[in-house]
Amino acid sequence: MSVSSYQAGLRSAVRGFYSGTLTQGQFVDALESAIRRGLTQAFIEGAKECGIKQDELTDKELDELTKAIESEYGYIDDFASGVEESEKLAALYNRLSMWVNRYSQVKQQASALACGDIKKVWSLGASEHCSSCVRLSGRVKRNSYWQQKGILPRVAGASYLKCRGYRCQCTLVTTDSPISRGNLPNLP
Amino acid sequence: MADIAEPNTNGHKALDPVAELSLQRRADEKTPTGGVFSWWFARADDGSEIGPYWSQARDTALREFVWREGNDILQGAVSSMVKWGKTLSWVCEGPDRVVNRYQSVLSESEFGEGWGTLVSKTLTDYYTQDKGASIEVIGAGNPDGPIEGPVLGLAHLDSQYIQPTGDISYPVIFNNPKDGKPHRLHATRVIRLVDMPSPNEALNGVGFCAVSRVIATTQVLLKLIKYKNEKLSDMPEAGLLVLNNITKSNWEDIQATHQKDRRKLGHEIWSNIMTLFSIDPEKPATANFVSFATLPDGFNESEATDTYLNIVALAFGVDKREFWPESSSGLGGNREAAVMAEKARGKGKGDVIALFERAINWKVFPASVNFRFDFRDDQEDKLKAEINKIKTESIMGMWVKPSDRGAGLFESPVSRVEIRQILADNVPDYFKQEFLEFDVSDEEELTDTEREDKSYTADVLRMAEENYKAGRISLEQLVEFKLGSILDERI
Repeated sequence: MSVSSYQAGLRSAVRGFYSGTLTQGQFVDALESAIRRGLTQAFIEGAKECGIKQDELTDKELDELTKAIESEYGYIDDFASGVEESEKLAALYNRLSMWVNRYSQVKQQASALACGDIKKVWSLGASEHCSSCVRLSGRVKRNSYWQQKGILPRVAGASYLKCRGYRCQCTLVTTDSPISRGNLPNLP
Repeated sequence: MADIAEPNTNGHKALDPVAELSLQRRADEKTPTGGVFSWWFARADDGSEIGPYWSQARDTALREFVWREGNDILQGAVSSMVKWGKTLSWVCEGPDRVVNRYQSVLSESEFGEGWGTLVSKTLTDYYTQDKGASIEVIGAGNPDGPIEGPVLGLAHLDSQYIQPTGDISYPVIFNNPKDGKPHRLHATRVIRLVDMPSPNEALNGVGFCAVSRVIATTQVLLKLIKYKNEKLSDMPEAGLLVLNNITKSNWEDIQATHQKDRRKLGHEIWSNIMTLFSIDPEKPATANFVSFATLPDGFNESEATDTYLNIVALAFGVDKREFWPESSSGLGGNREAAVMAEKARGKGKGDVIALFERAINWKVFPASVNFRFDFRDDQEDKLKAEINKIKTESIMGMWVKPSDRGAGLFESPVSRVEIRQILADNVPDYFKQEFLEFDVSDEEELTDTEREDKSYTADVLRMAEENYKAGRISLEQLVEFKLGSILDERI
């Protein structure tokens, strides 16, 4: 799947309605289906650029994707009217280019969101490890997750670490490994 | 006609509506059906005779018969067929997740011993037991009822503990050797593979196995081996000994002396020389031996073995060369060998392949997954190519090129769209469904995975085809739209 096949799908729906091969209802269905699949694909491709897989998307990112899709749905009826009134298919294809461009926009948006919130793994440092750090070792979560939970290494006085973070040498390291399932272990 | 549901998992769903429509006694679950009541008690002392067809005792005797000492060729034939089956590779096709799950069901069958062990035991029973082979299909649910949910495993059931019932819901009773109790198995919980099931309803689906088909010939060969053993042995064979000029007491004395010498010398296998002395020098002592067993006139061991091999090959439905290398070129060259092998594969081996494929697809795999043996070789590919060539030529014979039609005098009997559809339906190896602009037939041809791979355009095309089939648009409109969509994809 790519922007070219997305364009072909949209064009096919427009051609079908324009030529009378499809009814208006079928045109709306076809366009909605193509938008939903296409923009989802664009979002996944964008997130993948920063190593985030489809099942690792955060709720916030999924909300952004839904907003983008629903925003496009809002223009379909107007476009259908435009197809009915248009006399030239080329003019419709010209108008369609704006819809096609949304693919790249959504992809960039996803990339920006994902790269701003990359995956980080808890990595043990070169010191004696406390039991809390050992339990956290190897856990992979999105950066926003670590920040939101407030579980960070080397924080002096950290109540969630046995070592209290004073002599902690652990770090959060960028990784491409899959996100660890489930919640973080009970601490300290 | 009532609607009959498509076969679904375990074969159970499709079974019930058919059973309701059937007039047969065995299809009526309320009418009890018993086992096969045929018993046979008399047997020859040497154990070579097999009970008449059919009784449980016959299958027991068949199992003993196959593995009798001296039955080398038949044992080799069974072994050859079993090893062929074990080495057949297979393919599961369908959605990845489902295929992976069911692949492990087959690979880890026979309680983890694997597919090879399952096939080995199953084919041994299939070729040597009239009852055939049975496989337990393991899954959740009440053990007395149908399987609920997916099939979890497969395991061979020893044929000697199986009792066919003729009941379509509970086709067999398994006499469990662990507790000695009979356990009825639901149709979804058992696979039966029977060679030539009898049309006689009273026999409850008992067949006539390959070994059953060579009993008489094998017995002759066994007797021949026994004859050869006796000839080669130092011990006297069965026969009539005529002694001249020796009294009975002389003969008994000589025998006693001979036995005593043997014991004294410690001879257990090889005998020492027995000496006869004539009482009257004028009349020399003579001993004439007339054997009870003699070879038939003009007997030739090589020819007899060759004939036996041909009969065994016939019984197993394969070419003789499956069991025995051809030393002479009397039967023809490579071409003939290839043709014979091809024919043979279509009989005995083809039957086994089809039985397994149907059983696995029908009773083990869900509808979305397909099981098949991957046994193709160059010869088969070549044969298939030849068939495809004939099909293609026949189909294209209906097509008249526009340039040859000449002012409407020679209309083509089929249109371009139709000829492409016929090619896609009949020569799918070369002309794939994807080559069609659209499918004018009502046939379902796509799997779930294929649908996922279709482009965005596919949804729109499907709608357009629905409109055409519903008569909302013309064929020309549809073709024009499809061609336009193809252009859209390329720009």
